[in-house]
Amino acid sequence: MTGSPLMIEARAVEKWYPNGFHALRGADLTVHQGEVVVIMGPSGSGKSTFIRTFNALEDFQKGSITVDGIALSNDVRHIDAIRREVGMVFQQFNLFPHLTVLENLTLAPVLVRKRPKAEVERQALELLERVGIHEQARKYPGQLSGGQQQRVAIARSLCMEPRIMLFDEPTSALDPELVHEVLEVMQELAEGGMTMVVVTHEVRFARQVASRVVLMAEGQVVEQAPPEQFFTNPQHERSRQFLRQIG
Amino acid sequence: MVPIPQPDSAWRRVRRQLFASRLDGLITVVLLVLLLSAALGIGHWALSQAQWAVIQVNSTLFTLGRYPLEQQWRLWLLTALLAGASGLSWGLLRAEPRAGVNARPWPRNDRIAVLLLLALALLLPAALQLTALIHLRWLALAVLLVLARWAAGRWGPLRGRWRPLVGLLWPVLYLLGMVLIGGGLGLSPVPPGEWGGLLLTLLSASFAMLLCFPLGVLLALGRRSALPLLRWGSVLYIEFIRGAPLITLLFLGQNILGFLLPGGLAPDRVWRAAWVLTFFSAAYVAEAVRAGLVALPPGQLEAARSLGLAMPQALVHVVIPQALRVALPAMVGQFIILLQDTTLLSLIGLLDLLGIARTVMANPAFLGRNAEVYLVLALLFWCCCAALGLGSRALETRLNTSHTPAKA
Amino acid sequence: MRSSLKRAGAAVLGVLLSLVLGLALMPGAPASQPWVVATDPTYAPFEMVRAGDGALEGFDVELIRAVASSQGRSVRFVTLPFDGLIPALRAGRVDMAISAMTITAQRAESVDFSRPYFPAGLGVVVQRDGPSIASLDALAGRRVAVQIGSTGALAVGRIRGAQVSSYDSAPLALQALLNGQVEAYVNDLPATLYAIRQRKLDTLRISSQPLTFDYYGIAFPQGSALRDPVNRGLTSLINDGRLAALHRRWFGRDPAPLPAVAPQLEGRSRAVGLDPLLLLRNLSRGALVTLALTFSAFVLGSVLAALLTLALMAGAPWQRQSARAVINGLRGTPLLVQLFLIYFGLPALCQSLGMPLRLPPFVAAVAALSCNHSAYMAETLRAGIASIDKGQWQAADALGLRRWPRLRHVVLPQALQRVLPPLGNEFITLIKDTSLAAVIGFDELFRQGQLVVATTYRAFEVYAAVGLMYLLLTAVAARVLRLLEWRLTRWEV
Repeated sequence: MTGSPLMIEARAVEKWYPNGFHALRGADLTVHQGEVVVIMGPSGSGKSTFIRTFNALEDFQKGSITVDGIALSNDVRHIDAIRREVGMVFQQFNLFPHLTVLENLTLAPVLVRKRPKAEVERQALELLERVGIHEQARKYPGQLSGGQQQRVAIARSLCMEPRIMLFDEPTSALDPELVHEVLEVMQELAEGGMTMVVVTHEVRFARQVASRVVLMAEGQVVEQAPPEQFFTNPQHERSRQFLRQIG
Repeated sequence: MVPIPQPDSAWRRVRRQLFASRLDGLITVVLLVLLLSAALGIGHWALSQAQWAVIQVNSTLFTLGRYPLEQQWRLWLLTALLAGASGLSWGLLRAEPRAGVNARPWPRNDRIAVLLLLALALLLPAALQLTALIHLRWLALAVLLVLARWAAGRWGPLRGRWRPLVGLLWPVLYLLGMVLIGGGLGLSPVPPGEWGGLLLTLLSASFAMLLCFPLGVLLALGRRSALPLLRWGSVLYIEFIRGAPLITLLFLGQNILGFLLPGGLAPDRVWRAAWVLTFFSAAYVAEAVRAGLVALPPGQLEAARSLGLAMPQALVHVVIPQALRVALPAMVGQFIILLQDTTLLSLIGLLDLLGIARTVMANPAFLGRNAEVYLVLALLFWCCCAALGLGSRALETRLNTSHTPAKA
Repeated sequence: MRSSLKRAGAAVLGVLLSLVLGLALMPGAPASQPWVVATDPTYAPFEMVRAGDGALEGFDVELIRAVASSQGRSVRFVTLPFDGLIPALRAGRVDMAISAMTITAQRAESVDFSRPYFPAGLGVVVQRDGPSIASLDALAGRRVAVQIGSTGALAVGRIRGAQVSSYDSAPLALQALLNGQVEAYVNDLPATLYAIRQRKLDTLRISSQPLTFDYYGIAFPQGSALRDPVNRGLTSLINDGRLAALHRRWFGRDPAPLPAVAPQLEGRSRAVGLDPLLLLRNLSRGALVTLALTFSAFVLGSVLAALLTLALMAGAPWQRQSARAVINGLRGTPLLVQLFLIYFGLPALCQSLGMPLRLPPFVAAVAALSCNHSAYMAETLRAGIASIDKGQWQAADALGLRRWPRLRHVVLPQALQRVLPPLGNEFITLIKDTSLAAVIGFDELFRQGQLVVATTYRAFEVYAAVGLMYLLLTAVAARVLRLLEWRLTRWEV
């Protein structure tokens, strides 16, 4: 919308799963630098599948996706290059249970970016302090609460210094009282100017943080608008229906 | 279900445990009579009728086979090194502080173990009627082990830097042991055909364990590979090996290489059998590791790949360590079976523990001493397997101290 | 710090692995000076292991050493099972074999023989109070023990109606006779006489005259260049009386005169070729026996396992501990040793206790296999029951079910579904483990293959066929078990 550079451009993406299910039916999306895009929609609408195509966790059959100027193709070098620049936070945290919190953070920068370990550890401890759990650095993920684990997962992605962060329902697996601590971290991140794509059901987060809300239904982007407009005056019938359901 | 807390007399406890109902009482009495009569019979036999000379006279044969007498000092040296290394590792493992367990230099179990060890070193050579010189050597070995245990327990915790080197101690010792046993580096060679008894059993088992492990991991990965050729090759190999009994594979292995390679080039019969054991166990280890891979949530690999790790990096640092932890109990079970399977080497004419036992009993002087020999053999194997099981359980608890898997 | 140590560890491990590999791939012995002589040292007094240090000794051992030294050579012995000698010669893995091997026309089809060096013949041994047997034909309808691949086995194989049990070595066969598991034992007379005299086995009786006239010879790969020097050496030992002296020392009398060529080789008959149809028939027969053995052992093993599990999970503390001890004991000892202990050790033990016990091979095999496997199955069952959610037990308790109904109606049906796949695997393992019953002279699939090898000497082809047969059995069993599993757990969607 502004003149800032394009970070993600998805055009008419179509995906069939091996069992024949048509998950994405020509989905379009553009994300500019510094934008926070929140994707909402009923379950089974293809939100997660869509966001997972951005770092090639899912492949697609038709259409095109360009991330940070690199076109997604089957070329392994392109995929690895994109994954280095795109961080991902999962619903199930997916921390590595056999490594300590600190080792979870330092693993990829040392192996992939070939940075010296001492420097990465210093940065990792800073990041852990930023998400408020630096005193747990030597513990194993299994010893932390869900909210703490998810904050570690965010810090782990940040440690790779990504240009884009993807969040796939980051609070859905959390107990209600732990949700806010994760959302706070995400809000701080957004205020720091990170480009983010977030799949979530948290309306408050979308209202306060999003620069744009996108509604998906049946594998397509149905409506996109600034949050104020989306929540108060939705244009599309599917959007009104969805907002009624989540009350 | 909750027992009523009340002071229990010994009699009441016995009554509750053994004679809770009329049926329980009957079973108890019948079993006790059976057990007692069997124990009495066997005790009577062991003390008055069994002729243990067959064990006493042939004890060297059972342990070393036909290893040349003038070279046996090499094995004594190796045993001394092993005793020292075991003592060191034992002490260091015990001294290492662990969450929730106070590190003490001599826990009660260790004191009992040391007493048992010393008693064994005193009594066993006496029971075998060995010479005073050998008596002394065994005692010295036991004392060496205990001293090493004591030293490691005393100074081990202070020098934490050196502890990782203990892990290197064993591989180096294994290599040294191979040289000491087989010769080379200036020692006169002793061909594998002359290794025998317990020596051959332990050597072939440890060789197979060492090599079947990486092979099994590769096969398990191959079975889940996306490349059809690799996948089908692995499946075919695993299923063929697991479909046939080890004994046919051993016989095949003895003959197949003779056909493929000219006479002089084929590896020695002992090595050939050890390779068959290795390839055989690799298929089973692969299945255990595969179970570990299946148990791993797919999110783990996705997370690793999202962080930019290349496939081999993700496998080595994220997938395999977790899969192995799940596969550990099954793998140890396989290793125990492997140790027992070395007895099949006797069927292809190698002189492992069982093979030696059979040649000993072929000597007319010892004809009919089956019960004595096989009982001792069973006991020996049981001890080895129990030691393996104990070690694995210690390893499991150590690996599981702090990392319960993340909620998924 | 830690990662550098890790890297060093990995490097050392790599070097170690490659060294071990190198060591293992090292060729056995380069084709060097000493003659490589194969022998099966379970045949006193011809070849045996000396008590104490394990050196090889015996008539054959001394003879071949004397022959070698007369030709200015030395000897390196390789021990092989008797039925593996001729395959090893054919594969060129050894230079020659001396193992009290009788010269027969059939063997001469596969190997070359030296001139005869020992006059032998078959003898029949029976229990003192057993039947009297004056000729081989009198063995018809009797249970007879032989050593696999021996001339005795060939001769008895031709008698119609004899029930033959073949054993891996002569002492095992003799032990079977002592235990009363067979009625007669047929093997070469001199060795058997020696064993009986040495051990003063007065409960046995032997035909004093040989039933056949045979000669022992040294065997070579066909066309071997070593045959002539060995024959020269033998002839010189015969001529200067050293062979006679050796004979006196081991057997206390002079040998009968030896011909230059064994009469068996004069009018050669046709040898047994490998007939694929016959092989298939024998192997199928063996497969049936294997299946029968598997089923019997599985049924008995399941019953034992159920008892063990019951004691383990519902018993009083002492029952639990003894069940655990039994399981540990069974799992900690090799099946092969258990099999030997039950078949050869138990009767010997009972005999010395004054309770004669006759164990047929089938009973011994089923006992050993079912005991061994019951321990593994009990572990499986226990794990299956333990894996049932605690909530199920509590729900049953809350409904007021008592101990047995709770187990029977709530826990067991769910546990069964979980243990079916591992129990199926146990069944398949059992199929493979029955191959060990071969060692106690039981004609199942593997032993049928061995018997074919003993007459045709085509080890590779036959063992490959046996392996494929087992593969077929296990594959079909896996298929059937999968179907069964599906039928039994249909209620679970």
